[in-house]
Amino acid sequence: MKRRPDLPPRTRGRFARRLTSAAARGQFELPVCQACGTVQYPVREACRSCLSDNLRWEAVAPGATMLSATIIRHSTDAYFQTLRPLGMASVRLDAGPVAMVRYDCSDGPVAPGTRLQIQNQLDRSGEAILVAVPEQAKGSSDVLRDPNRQIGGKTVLITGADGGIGKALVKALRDAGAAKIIAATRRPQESAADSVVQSLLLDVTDQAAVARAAELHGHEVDILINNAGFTAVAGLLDADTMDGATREMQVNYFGTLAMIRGFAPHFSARKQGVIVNVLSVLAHVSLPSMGSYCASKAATLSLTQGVRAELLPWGVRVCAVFPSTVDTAASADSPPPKLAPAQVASAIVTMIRDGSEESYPGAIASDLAGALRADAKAVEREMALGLPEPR
Amino acid sequence: MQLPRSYEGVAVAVPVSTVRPRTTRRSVHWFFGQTLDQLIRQAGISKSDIDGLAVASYTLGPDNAASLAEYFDMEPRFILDLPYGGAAGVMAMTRAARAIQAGDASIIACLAADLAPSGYGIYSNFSAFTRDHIYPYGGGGANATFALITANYMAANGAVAEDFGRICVAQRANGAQHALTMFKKPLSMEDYLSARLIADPLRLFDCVPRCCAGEGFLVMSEDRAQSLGLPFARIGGAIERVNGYSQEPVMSHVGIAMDRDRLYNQASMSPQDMDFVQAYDDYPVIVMMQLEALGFCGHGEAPKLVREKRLTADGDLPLNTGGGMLALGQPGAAGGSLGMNEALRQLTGKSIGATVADAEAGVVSCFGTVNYDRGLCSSAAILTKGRAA
Ligand SMILES: NC(=O)c1ccc[n+]([C@@H]2O[C@H](COP(=O)([O-])OP(=O)(O)OC[C@H]3O[C@@H](n4cnc5c(N)ncnc54)[C@H](OP(=O)(O)O)[C@@H]3O)[C@@H](O)[C@H]2O)c1
Ligand SMILES: [Zn+2]
Repeated sequence: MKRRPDLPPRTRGRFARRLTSAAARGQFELPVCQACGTVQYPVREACRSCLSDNLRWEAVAPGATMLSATIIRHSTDAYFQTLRPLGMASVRLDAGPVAMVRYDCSDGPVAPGTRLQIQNQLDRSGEAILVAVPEQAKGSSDVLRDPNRQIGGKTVLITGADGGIGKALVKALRDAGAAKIIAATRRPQESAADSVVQSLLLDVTDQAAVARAAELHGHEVDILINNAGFTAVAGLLDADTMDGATREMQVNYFGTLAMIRGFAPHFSARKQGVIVNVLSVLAHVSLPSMGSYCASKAATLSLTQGVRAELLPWGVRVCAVFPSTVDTAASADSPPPKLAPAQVASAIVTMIRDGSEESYPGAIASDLAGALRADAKAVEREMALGLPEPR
Repeated sequence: MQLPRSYEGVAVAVPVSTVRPRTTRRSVHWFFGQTLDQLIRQAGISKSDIDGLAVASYTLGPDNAASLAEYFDMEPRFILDLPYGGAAGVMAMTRAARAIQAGDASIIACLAADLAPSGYGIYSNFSAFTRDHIYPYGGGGANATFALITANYMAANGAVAEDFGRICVAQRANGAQHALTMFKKPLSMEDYLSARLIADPLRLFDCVPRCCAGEGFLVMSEDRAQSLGLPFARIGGAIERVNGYSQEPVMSHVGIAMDRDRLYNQASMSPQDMDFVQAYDDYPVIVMMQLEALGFCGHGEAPKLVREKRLTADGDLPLNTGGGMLALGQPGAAGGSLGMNEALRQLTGKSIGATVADAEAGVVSCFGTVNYDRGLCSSAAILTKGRAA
């Protein structure tokens, strides 16, 4: 699809685009030569020092020192023209190379020698950009000035808002300054609505109801969180009938698809909007004791990738959170350790704010994500062997 | 010091330039055609006498020297493409000179032409590093890159805006007298300092205006030049350096700074013998680095030099006597031949603007190929007035 002029350029080469993978996770990785240790930047497919092609993308030290800074007041790019003035600087990375970065120029050019922290962030086109912020800065900064990263003043719709994670999400987004939260639930709620939270009766498997909700609220919703979910807790062969597997697909996959199909056109028309899908680490690997659930989350992960690609040219972000077991009704029978629902909710708030598109809250999920990147087959076997002895 | 073989017996002659509109509906081939036509007419030769073509252009692609040969119905036995922008002028001349000495060709036309880029996204695909790591950072183009280099130079050497302004004001004064100038009106220091910022600390008049144009000259044997009755220049010495000082975190030298002694030794001359300097002037900070590299002052001392010297054609350090790209515009890769042609005009008594009195020798310095955070190619040559044997 042709690039819209109100989005940043997407012209990178394939190898450099690998910067995006880490940025999607909110991490800063560069190719490191396995033969001599040289960190490569600008990224190269051969070591600039020893010519080895044995390069691995690894997390590198985020520290840097300012070399020289400018303020771009005239750009040859239509998108950047709308964002002027823009801070651009060259910095010496603690990891070795010199890198071009964006920085916040609202107080003028940052002085040479200033210590900085580099963040690898996604811009509105989904391309990775190195951003320099003060060394002591906490959290992510909005140097790229992406309206899709703000929560303050925004309207959020959350499905399954009366569930364990759903309730935590309502609280976290209210605390983050959302102006309006549409809490969608399948059952009528007793607690009365207040000035921020408004309830909406919605079964995500009822396509007509979803279409109605989109028609009614599509114009106002900025952030859609697809959280409603169902777990049958059964193996694919172990279950007596296919009812549970069917319901999982209906709620988790088709419910999410219906919601996105309803709301996405409103987002793309405004060239703004964020969709967050609540997935699970089990979207990446099957846990046999709940095999049909894993399949439904895997389908929803594929859906997430597909709609992300379709919406990228329209300035609409699609994010996903991949928790391990969370302490809610849905996992009452699962063994500990379990994440608190508030941890998942706060990971989602952070993901929206820092512009990343994947979040693995807690050590278990992030370790598992690392293990899956390194050797997915090994993790699959580990999950398989975790089954009780066959009867 | 191991010196390269001398360039003796080689003549460089017939500097030509086309019209230089800011925009055009013509293709770059037209500018090449006009350049070639002028070369032939002014040299009094026919098209078939040219048996070598050296070509520099950013906008000629996908065509090249071979397709130009077909376009103009020529059958050269030597061709050369030089996609090195501002560095191409001297590089074309030295390569052509070696080919003449080796007998690979007898008359080589060194041609450069380009159209002014326009519209959005013009720098998005300049090189892989630019596309991947520069353009997505704000599309500031070369201005942003040289703003970083300028800011760093100012901090390191105590240069102030007026120092850069001196170069710009002097060049525009030279340029005002030039037949091909884009600006008849000279520039005052006040104009320079009050111009709007483009990329801090660069202001409007630090950045050269773009135009469409072709530039060309011929390289042949001295014997041939004399039999054709052409005034010519000799090459006293030449140097080039690619990716020099690559470990500098921010560029503070042009590469040829490491080759300066070879240049002067080959010519058996010194900076004091130079009657003028033609230095690539995409940004004044690069002019300063070239003055340092060529030994007119020490490293980092150019701000002091430009405060002390008069840089106009009648001054004690005549610099870019035709006005440079600041006055004549930057026709893309053809900007790299402006200095060559101005030097040839001064040395062959064919000045079309401000004239350096009794010019016997001068130095031409080229610079270009901005890839990531610096220019990669620099080259320089000493040219001397050719005399009938
Ligand atoms: N708990 C975990 O260990 C864990 C781990 C990873 C991911 N997740 C995911 O996190 C999300 C929230 O789950 P949770 O742990 O908070 O479980 P929960 O407490 O059971 O909440 C699930 C919510 O989804 C709602 N829901 C179910 N079917 C619906 C439908 N057809 N239409 C509308 N809403 C419907 C539920 O409403 P009703 O109560 O009315 O059915 C409930 O509000 C789910 O997508 C789940 O897959 C959970
Ligand atoms: Zn290496």
